[in-house]
Amino acid sequence: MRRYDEEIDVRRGLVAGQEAPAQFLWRGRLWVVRDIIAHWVETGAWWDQPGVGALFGAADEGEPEAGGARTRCADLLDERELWRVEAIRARADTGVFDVSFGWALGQWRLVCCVD
Amino acid sequence: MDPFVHLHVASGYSLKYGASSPQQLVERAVDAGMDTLALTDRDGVYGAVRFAKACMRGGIRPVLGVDLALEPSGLTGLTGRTGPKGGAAPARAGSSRSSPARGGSYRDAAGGVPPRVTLLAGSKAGWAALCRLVSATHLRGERGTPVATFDLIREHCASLGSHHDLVVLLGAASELGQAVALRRDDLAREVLAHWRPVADSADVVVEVMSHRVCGHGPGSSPHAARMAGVAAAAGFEVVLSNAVRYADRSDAPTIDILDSVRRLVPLDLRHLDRVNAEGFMKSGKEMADIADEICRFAGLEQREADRMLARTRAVADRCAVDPRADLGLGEVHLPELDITSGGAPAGLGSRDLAAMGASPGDVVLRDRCEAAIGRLYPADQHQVASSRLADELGVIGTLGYASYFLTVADVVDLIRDVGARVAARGSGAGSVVNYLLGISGVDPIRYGLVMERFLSPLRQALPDIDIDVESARRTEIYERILDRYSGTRCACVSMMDTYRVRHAIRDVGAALGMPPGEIDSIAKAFPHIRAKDARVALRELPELRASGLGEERLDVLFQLVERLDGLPRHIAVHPCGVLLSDATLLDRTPVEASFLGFPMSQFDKDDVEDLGLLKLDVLGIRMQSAMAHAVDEVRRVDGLEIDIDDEGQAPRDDPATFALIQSAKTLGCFQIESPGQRELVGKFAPETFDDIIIDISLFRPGPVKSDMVNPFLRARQGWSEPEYLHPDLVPALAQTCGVVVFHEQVIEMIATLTGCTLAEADEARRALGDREGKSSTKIWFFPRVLARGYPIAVAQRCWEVLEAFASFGFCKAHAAAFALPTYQSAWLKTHHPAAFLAGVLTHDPGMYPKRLILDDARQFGIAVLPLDVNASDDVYRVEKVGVYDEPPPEVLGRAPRSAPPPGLPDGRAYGIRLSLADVSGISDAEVARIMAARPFHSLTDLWQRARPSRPVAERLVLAGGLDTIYGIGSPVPVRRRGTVTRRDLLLQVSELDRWSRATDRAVRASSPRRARSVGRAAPVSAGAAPLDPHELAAVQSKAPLPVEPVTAVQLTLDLDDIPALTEASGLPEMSGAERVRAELEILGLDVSSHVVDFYAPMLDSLRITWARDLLRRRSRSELLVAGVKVATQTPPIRSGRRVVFLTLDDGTGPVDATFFEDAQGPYAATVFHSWLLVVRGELRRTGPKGVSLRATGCWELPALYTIWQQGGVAGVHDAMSAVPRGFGADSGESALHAAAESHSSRPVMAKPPTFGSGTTPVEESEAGPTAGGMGRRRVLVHPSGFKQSPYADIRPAGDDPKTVPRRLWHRSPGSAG
Repeated sequence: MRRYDEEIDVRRGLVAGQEAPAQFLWRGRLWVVRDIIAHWVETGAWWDQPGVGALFGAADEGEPEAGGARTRCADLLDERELWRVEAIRARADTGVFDVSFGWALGQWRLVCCVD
Repeated sequence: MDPFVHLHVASGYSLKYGASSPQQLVERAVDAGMDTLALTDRDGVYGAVRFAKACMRGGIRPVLGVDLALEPSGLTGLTGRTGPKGGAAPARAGSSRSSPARGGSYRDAAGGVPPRVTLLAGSKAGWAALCRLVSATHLRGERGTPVATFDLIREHCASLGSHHDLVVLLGAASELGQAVALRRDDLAREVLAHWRPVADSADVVVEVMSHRVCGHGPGSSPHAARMAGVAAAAGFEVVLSNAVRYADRSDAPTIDILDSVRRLVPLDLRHLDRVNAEGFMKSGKEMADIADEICRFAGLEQREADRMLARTRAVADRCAVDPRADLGLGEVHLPELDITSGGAPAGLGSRDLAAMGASPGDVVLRDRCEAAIGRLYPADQHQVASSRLADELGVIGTLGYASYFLTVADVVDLIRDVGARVAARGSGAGSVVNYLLGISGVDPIRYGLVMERFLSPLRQALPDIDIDVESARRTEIYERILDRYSGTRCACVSMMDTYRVRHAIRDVGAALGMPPGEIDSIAKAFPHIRAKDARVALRELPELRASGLGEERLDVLFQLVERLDGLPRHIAVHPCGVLLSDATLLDRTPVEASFLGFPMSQFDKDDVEDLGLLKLDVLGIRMQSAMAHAVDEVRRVDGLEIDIDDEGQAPRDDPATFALIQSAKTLGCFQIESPGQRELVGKFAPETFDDIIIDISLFRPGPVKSDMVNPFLRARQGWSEPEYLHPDLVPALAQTCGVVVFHEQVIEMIATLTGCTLAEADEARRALGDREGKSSTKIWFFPRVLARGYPIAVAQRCWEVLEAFASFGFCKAHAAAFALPTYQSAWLKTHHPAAFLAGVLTHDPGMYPKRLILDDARQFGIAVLPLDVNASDDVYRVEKVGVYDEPPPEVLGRAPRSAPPPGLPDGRAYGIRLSLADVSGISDAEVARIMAARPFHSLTDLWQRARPSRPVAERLVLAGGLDTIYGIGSPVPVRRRGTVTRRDLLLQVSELDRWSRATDRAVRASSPRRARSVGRAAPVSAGAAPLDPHELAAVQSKAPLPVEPVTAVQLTLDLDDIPALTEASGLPEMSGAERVRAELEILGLDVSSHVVDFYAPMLDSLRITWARDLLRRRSRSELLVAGVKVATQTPPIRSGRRVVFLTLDDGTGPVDATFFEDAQGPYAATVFHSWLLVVRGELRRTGPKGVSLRATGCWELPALYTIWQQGGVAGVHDAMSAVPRGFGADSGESALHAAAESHSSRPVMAKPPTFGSGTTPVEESEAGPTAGGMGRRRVLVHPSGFKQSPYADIRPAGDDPKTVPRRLWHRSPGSAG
């Protein structure tokens, strides 16, 4: 399994009868989702965010503009919806990917490539 | 409408587990259009009543249940521990752990997380069975970790026959869920087969849920799907839930905090149950999506998802309860008559009773009361008393409360039987029935008290009688009551301790992993306010604003703190409530064991009132214990037998007692010792018992706020004529010179003016408490008054008075009940000052630290006798001493005892011996051994026979406990050669300790170690007879075992090798200052001299005014006072501002200073966080004997002392006149540290920042824009129009002044290292 954390472009659609990422563009290549293997929701370790770290006076130097030290509790959730999908490229190359959608920022990311 | 029903919902009453209150959950369900909602809290039904009431308000149906841990059946081969993130941890051998408790999963339960099962009550019978099951679960095993067994559940289900009144939900956390998580369908089928017998008498349903987590463990859709599949194959029904823990998605971080607080670990992914925020109250639509997803994974059709939802609905419909019919809200259940009074009166058949229209209880009650009239009233009053009694009995009979009164009387008799002091308080003193039954000691006819304030045919609520008993014997009394009524009829009321700001800061800070020191100082900087006001307080309070806590970087902390607001964190016994009911008590409330092993209801005092259970308040009053101790001491020392309840011995018109009260030397007396009360009694000068009643009523927030005190005092002193609104009102108002003080007067005024009955008038008075009731009462009031011929102007003025005072007056019966112990304590202080103060010192009833009481004793000429292992007991004892001290005290370096001022009691013939119990760290067992083994003739003797621990032995030496044995007297540093000093003794303690260790090792090596077998033997249930909950709860007691009485004392074995004190080492004796320091650290008392004395040179050069000279100073003069802080209060005052009252003790008496808002900005932090203070202020004369200081500045005494040593008087004056430095510029780390260490000597803020006016709607315009450093000020406005500061009556920031004197010394000078 290789881990990534890269922004991707996604087109949503119906895959096997449920709404999911249907196609995504990763490193300039288009992958078409053939199947959904798993689908789950998770939240991150909000206590590791810079805004919380500032409590200890640790991270507030130098990067006040990065979203500001002020963290709202809504941000604390940082929920991500994840799909493990089997995708195919150019009718030959297949792969299993974890694709995430962060609700706070509305951003799609490719998290890992399973095989 | 949304047909979905959440069947598995945890509220905040699942302690440190759920994040939302029942109210919030109900609101969310109502918003979503749901018509039913369940509450299934963990381990109990603590929130059930509140939830049911919230449902009634919200118009939805409640379903009640509980989520219980279950002993593993062993079927799954697991002792538990399936991780929340999917997959099961490897099975662990099911052995109990022997290592001490740690954090993390170890905190959940020994051996991992046990499986859990949810039960829902399907009917009234089901609810009763559920309550009994919860009780049984709590009363078996270990207190605090209730675990049910399969057999318990089966028995309780079976007790209902085949009515299927309970529903058992097997969810993801059950053994079924565990088996499925292992992907062992065979095990899952076995688990279901195991439950099948239960299904004969209850509905066993499989509950699936998916939080859409990753993997295939509990909470994931594949797991839910597999559960549904197994259940369908085995023929069990399937319902859908969401295992709700919070109302809104955004509350999820709160859950993380609670998880880590519960497990005592910092936040980290591996410690938390939650991996996403899906466990909130989802809508029916969202739940349908989940159902679809589960069915898709299970390979089932869409139809199955719909059926799952329909079955969920069906279960909810069956289990929805009616709060009134099923829960019994509003019913009344009193103990059976044959328990309270041994059955119906002899000679009366039931037919006779029916003919008389009276219940047996009524007859018993009447007989008892009538018998008492002849005893308590002189013959000429029999007529009056009888007719009053007949009236009251009529009302009691109508309401059916006879057995209530008999029960209370029975309890009071029980208490008297054990020889404990008892007194009634509250409005109950207004009832002649209570007087005749011996419940109350105040004669309502003599003091003009009316019954309607207490009991009225128009009010359905049970009347409230509170009983005061000796605090030291409260548990003994509880035992007696429980023995009498047994654990099936009697239980203690519980109390939910909820998060307030300080707790919340500590818990959130710890979860986030902040440094403990920082957490502590942030927490202590706050007054004891609600957690949700944390940021508001940061903006409002000057000392907090200046502290730098408002910085943005701390914002996350305070956001999280505010989310914890009001969540229950801990359940404890209510300090006074006892539930009494008939034998069906346990059908209506589950009980669990309290810390001390009493059975305790899971409902709090409001809940039990809603449930109609008789709650008797049995309050432990320290003053009653103090008075009992005083009486005992008088008997022991003087051989006098006194009964302070007997008016023959302690007449209620004793001039000497009133002289003492008028002198305001009332420290230690009940109710009249606070600074404000001493000021008031000084002005008021009470002369009769009635005056004390008035005095107590006047010193209440209401009268103070509405300025009733001054008109009364003017009329009372004869400076102005009493004004009466109308001649008809004179009878009601004459006792208080025309001012309305009592509720009773309001009732009588309304009755007189409108011509209604007293009962109706009381209803009108109650209605005046809120805005709505006020307007309706006004409409009712005016026509009636005018119709009776009163002029409109009179009606108008009367209305204004009623409107203003109704909600604030004080109940006279209550005041009369209070006045009795007040008078009794003053009487004891007058006639037996030493014994009384010994009682006060032993039981510590008041608001002041003990060192101030000790100082008060000195003022009365009482000798303070030092600690002495051969004389000190576990309590403060009175000893007779020569009036003029032998030998003359100067020789011993002690101050001579001067006679008290004329007119005050002279206590010079007595001394108070300090108690061993005040030695810090001494255990009850050590005290008992010392008392049993004495006299001692040497330190070695003490060491061997009393076996104190080394630190205790050292403290005894340092505090002078062995001085008399070795003839160590005055602290003169240069002494005759070879004399033993305390320092020599200290050396010997360490030698003895070394010797003991060596010999112990030798002994231990040669003999096998004795097994430590503590813990109480569990009672074995004989046959099938269930044990009384009282006994079961007692087994779970966590209280320390009682100290076994020491009878045989080990004799000294004079072994050759024991180190004996051979020769003095020549070390110098401890100086006077060192002695005081040791006394403060060890006893918390400055015995040999006053702390402030060491600053005397500086204080004299500054021309400080001493407390005893204050009365001689001119009014309005500016002066300085100094002393030790003994109390700070922020009482409510009329203007709605915060006022800080500070009391200092300078060794000559107490000094009271008042800080108004203008002085708080720069100086509040010093006031709250420092202990030795110098205060500058303007003297105000408040009465013939009363003075008070209006403070204009405040400084730390030790800091000024340092300045004085370097710069002399001029330097100190400079320091005090300097405008305190501003604080705003250097924020950041230093600001926080300053706040953290706000014990700092300098005032922390100079110029109060200016705020634009009109920023808040309630801001007072006349206060001007700055308001003396109080920022945007909020004011609480009461319905009657009075304003109050939100910080009034709240314990202020910093430590409690009562507890801290041990630390007084740390900054003091003169400690020659």
